[in-house]
Amino acid sequence: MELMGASLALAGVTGCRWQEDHLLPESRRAEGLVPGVPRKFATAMEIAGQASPLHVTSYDGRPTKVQGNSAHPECLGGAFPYQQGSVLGLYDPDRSDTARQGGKPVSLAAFSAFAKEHFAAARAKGGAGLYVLSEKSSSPTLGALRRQLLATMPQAKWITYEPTATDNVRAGSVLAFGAPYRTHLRFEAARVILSLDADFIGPNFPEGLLNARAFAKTRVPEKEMSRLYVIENTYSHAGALADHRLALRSELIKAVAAYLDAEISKHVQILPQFGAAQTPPNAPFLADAGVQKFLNAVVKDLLANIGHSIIVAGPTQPPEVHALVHRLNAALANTAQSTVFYTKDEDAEVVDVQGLKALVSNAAAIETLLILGGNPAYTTPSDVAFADALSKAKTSIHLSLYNDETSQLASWHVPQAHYLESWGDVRSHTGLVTVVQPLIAPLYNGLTAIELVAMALGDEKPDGKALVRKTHELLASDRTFRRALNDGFISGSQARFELATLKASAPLQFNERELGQGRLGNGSYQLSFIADPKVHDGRYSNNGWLQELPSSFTKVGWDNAVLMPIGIAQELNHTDGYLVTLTLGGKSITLPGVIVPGQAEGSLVVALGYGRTHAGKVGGSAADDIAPVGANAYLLRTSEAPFIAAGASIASAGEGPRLAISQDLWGIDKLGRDGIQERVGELVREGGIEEYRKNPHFVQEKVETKPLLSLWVPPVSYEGHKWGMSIDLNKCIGCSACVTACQAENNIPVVGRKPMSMGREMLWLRVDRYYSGEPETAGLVFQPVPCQQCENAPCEQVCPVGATMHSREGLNDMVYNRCIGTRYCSNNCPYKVRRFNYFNYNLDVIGITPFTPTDDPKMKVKSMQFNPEVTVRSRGVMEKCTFCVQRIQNTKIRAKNEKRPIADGEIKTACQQTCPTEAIVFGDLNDQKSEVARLHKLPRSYALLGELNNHPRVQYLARIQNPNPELV
Amino acid sequence: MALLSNITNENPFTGAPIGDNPFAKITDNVARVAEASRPPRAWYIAFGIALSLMTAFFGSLGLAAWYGIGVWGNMMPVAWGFPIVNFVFWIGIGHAGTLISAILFLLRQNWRTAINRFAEAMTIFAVVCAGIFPGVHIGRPWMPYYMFPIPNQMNMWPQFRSPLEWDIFAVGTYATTSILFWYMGMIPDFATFRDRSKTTIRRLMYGLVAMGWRGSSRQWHRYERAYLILAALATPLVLSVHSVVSFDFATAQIPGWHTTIFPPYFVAGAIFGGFAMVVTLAVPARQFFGLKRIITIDHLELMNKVLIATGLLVGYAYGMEFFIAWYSGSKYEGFTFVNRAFGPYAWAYWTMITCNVLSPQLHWFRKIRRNPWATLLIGMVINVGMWFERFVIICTSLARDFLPSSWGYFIPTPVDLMTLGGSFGLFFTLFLLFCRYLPMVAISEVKAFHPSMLSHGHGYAHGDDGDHGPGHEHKQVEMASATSS
Repeated sequence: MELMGASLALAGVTGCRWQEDHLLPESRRAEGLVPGVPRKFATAMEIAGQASPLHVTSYDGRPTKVQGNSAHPECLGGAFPYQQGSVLGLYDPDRSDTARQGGKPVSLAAFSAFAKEHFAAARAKGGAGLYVLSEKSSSPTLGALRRQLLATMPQAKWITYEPTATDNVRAGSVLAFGAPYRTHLRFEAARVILSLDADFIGPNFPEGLLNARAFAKTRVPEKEMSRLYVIENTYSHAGALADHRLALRSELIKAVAAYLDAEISKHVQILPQFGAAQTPPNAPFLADAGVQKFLNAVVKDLLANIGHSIIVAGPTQPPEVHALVHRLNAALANTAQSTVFYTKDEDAEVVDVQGLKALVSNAAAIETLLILGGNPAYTTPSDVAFADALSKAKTSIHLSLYNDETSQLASWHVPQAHYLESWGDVRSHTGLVTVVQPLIAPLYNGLTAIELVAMALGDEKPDGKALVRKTHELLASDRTFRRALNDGFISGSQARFELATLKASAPLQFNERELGQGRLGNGSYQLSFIADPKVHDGRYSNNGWLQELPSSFTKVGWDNAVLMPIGIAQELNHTDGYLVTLTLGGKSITLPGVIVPGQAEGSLVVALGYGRTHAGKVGGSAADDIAPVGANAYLLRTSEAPFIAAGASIASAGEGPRLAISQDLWGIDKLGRDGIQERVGELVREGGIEEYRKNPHFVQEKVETKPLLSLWVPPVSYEGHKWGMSIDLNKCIGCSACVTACQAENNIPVVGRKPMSMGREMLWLRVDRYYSGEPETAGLVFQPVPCQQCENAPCEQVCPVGATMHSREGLNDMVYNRCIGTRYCSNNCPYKVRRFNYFNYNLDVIGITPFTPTDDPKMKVKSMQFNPEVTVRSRGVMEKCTFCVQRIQNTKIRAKNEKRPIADGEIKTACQQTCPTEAIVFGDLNDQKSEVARLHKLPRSYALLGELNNHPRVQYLARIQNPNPELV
Repeated sequence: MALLSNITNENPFTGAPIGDNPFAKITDNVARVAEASRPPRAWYIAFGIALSLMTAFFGSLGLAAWYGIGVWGNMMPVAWGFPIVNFVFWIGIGHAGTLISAILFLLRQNWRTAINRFAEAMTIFAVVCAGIFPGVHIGRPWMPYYMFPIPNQMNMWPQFRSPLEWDIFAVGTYATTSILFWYMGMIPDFATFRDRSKTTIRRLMYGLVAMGWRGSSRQWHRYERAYLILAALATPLVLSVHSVVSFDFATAQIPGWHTTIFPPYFVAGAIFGGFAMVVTLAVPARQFFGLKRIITIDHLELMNKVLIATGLLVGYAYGMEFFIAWYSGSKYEGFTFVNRAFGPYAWAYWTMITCNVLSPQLHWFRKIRRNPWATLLIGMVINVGMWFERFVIICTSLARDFLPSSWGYFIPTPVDLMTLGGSFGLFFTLFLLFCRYLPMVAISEVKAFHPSMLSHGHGYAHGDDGDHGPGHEHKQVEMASATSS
């Protein structure tokens, strides 16, 4: 793998008049490397043990953009915001650049020398007193090294702790089958899907990407459509697409599952060895008319589609629920008819909270605590005194990307290599192994986890690549190794689907809360802890893109909030967005409270990953006097109830600073809310599939317009390429990966909390979120809005200097160097897709522009992320989505050189490329065979605000649902 | 000190004017303002305040140019905030001066001669204030010349379909014509000052700007012709300039902006606001500079009547906008107007209604419209209301337009407020300098319509200060004379 192709070495100003720079070119250019031409490499990243296969674009030896691996069967090119934002973390100037001993910087060589001796001594003692605390990892190499370590040092202990992962799924399958199995869902044959608090198309669900893509393919009303029922606690991506949704607290799902089992078992033949069905629980909430109607309709639908349904339970549900779901899937013949598959789950590690507790209570016995990644001082539950234990350990070594909360307390800190700098391997949920290859040599000489463990095993100069190759026999030959690197996976490494035999399940026991009995009031609310969809468990706190990304449902950036249903807000007389004090188990945090219409009654939700004190200048740094972003929900979290806790109370805490939101919260004035309801049906057009089949043109008829006349014949005839885009509202799940992808591709700056709270965020693409109906049972739709590239653009007509012009191919071109910043174009844009540089955000944020060079090497590193194909805008100019014109131009040039036409799908805009569900389609409307031309011709395709006669090139496919006639 | 001279009888501003015939008295009444060794104390106080505000103005503009226009409260979707509100506000104010100078001249409303000079000056200074804003509100204020059709090597012309471009031509024409008109009108009065000057410097300075005026009948004839032509040129500008400024909004698509009522509505509003500023300036000016005989209560009353008329026009326009918003059936348009009255910016809307629609109704009462201080107060209230009208039009329409996802709320920053207040500083600095050094009243025109030129012999013969009771009103209106007995 190449190092940086050309390096800029700054010579000191040694008495010369001019500062000298030396360019050191390669004396022999590596094969295939043309300076300035980007290359793509396959690699993967891992979050909490879940692998994401990736393609990373590299310019002259520096990675700038991450995409999903389009050839990998599990992601097919999609990626969520975590993946899109990860490249910024590589260049984070707050990353640790040196090893530290007791907080003082030392060289890595010093650490290596220490480690050599120290671990030799540990090995001599058989590992007594050695504890390894690792994150959850699917890496076979790490697994192999773990086994080797435990074999070489039998008295050592290896504990895996992952704050957002749970063993409930695994335990559930052990309950159901007697052995751990992984579940794989296959949506092609599924006609009815029931989700029990499972966001199965979300970023934190196993195979979430694959599920999203496959599920979206079943949501095409022109073919047979599936039907999705979701019973969930708060809004999730799956809930947003649901045909029918029932909001129930997570703790009540168990009773629902039992009820379903009881009902379904009445109508299907269950083999006696599977045991008796559950009895319907005596739960008052189940007797509610609405709930009864819903559940009975679900049962009826499932029974009508034997073998073609999927029932899935959320990972945080207790093991009994998972076991019950396995039983239901078996009863409904889903496992036999191929919608639900199983693979063996042998070598995955258990998330070991008990082990962690034992470690902490045994703190005195810790000789060496080796912490591989993670941030346990911050993420361990509040009832586990880990920070104390860490201080008591005689030697502690923390391998970490940042000098974070844990590294502050550890005796040694070792900088970790970012995944883009690492050799390693990961195993996806289906068992497919991907080799992680570095795209750049470690910027700060970091080590990977496998290298550090190898060092502990006595390897003085651990080589990640060699370690990986050693683990897999398939990689022994160079040929297969190169093949695996090229493909992005080792073909043949996936697990085989197995037949899992169900065991009988015991009758479920319920406590008062699970039956929905008992008083539900302030002091007894359910509080759910979730991994934040942007900063996860806190590992991405210092990532500006992810902090600024508006959350899918609340549209809040730079903060976390406690999500509450309208009922709790009314009881509290709460103003949406004001501060509240959330108390659980005697501990409190103060944070904004946001109303989420459609959230279950009596349920509160808070995201983890905020309130960090040593994340860096973006996320919060005590050393630099920068306040933490958000509030630390880990303070409330205990090991007894890490995901679903009961007994929370909430109190008003005053107004608080303005929230950094990209769209109004639900709780604006009634006039505004009524205004939204009045028009939302025209902006986001929806209907049922029956209505669509009877009258395909009902979508157009939703807005009555007279024929749209034009005063003149447009001067452009669009005979060449005619770029257009189609966005399918049936498929958009609101994950906002497109937003981050656009930011990465187009050098869009991060503005920070206060400007965002004023409304100055620079994101070119936004995903609008509209609620409809009553706040207790609201529906929700997402609508991504890029620049519509109107043929009759209102912005072009009002620019006094002609800084925005129309190209022959239909793009609305923004000419940055002509723009003087009158902002009339933004005022006239009805879609408000234009963004203005009120300050020199790039200078303020990056610290370097062509006019103000800096000698600060950290700032120079930060500027390495910029995409060289896209201008970096200065202050005072407008900017907006360009349909990734740089990609269009590059492809046109390539096609012209190769003397061939451009194939459909050859140009993918950044948003299109990353969309997990393929909701965005871009292409040439003049190409009659292109997908986008076909989609534009569908009767459900409409233009947003088309009645304004702007002729936008972006059209939306109306949301067609497949409701159950009994529930309508 | 000026203070001492105020208590003696020899107050250069409020004592009886010197002269043995009415014309001489008029000349003296006006000329002594510029010839007094010191301006009145009030002038110093006002000038001090104005100068400091003006310094704040340029300071805040400097901040915006140095750091970026993010120092203001502008955001998305309200990308136009205070600077454009201020721009339209100041341009609107200017229109009253041109109306008084040009249109009332063509309509032979000779009472205008007492106020037209300083009203025209007010126009010039208002245009100066207004013209600064389009230059500085742009994101890259070192490049406003891109908007001008200057031949260049890139062959780039401005984009002529844009209303902002039309603004350049409209405001430019307006500034040019107004300055020519104003200057040319002052030539005979500069000559008067030159002839009365006691120091060489004064004689040279006034002589320079008087351009050799000798008062020959040929010169007078040409003067009258030129005045007529410029008045005719300036007249359509009263309607066109603010119509073009209204096109900034009317040609946009946003509900609340996209309406054909804007050109007449803005022009009516401009005249309304401008007259309010004229009375705001007239009342203290006549008080502190002793011009009560020339700018009489009757003049104030006439201006207040114009305020009622234009105020009613503006009120009608507000009502009609609401009606059309409902009648159009466009849900966006209807929402925009209900939102203005009852949404997050309702406070601005009702301020506007109170100040613009309700307050001028007080002038239906004779006692109020003949009271200078009530006139002043209501004039200032109307100015506030007119500023809020532009704020309501610009900011509330932008804050909530078509897509609810882009709704926002504009909050001004301290720099915004400093810029607004500072623009008044610039305006008043220039105006106070005008009062001090230039002929505040059109001496020659006032004389031309003095009653002694006509059948009545009232006026300065009685030595009174010009305030009269009801009895003389009827005659004044009949004769449409400039001064009353």
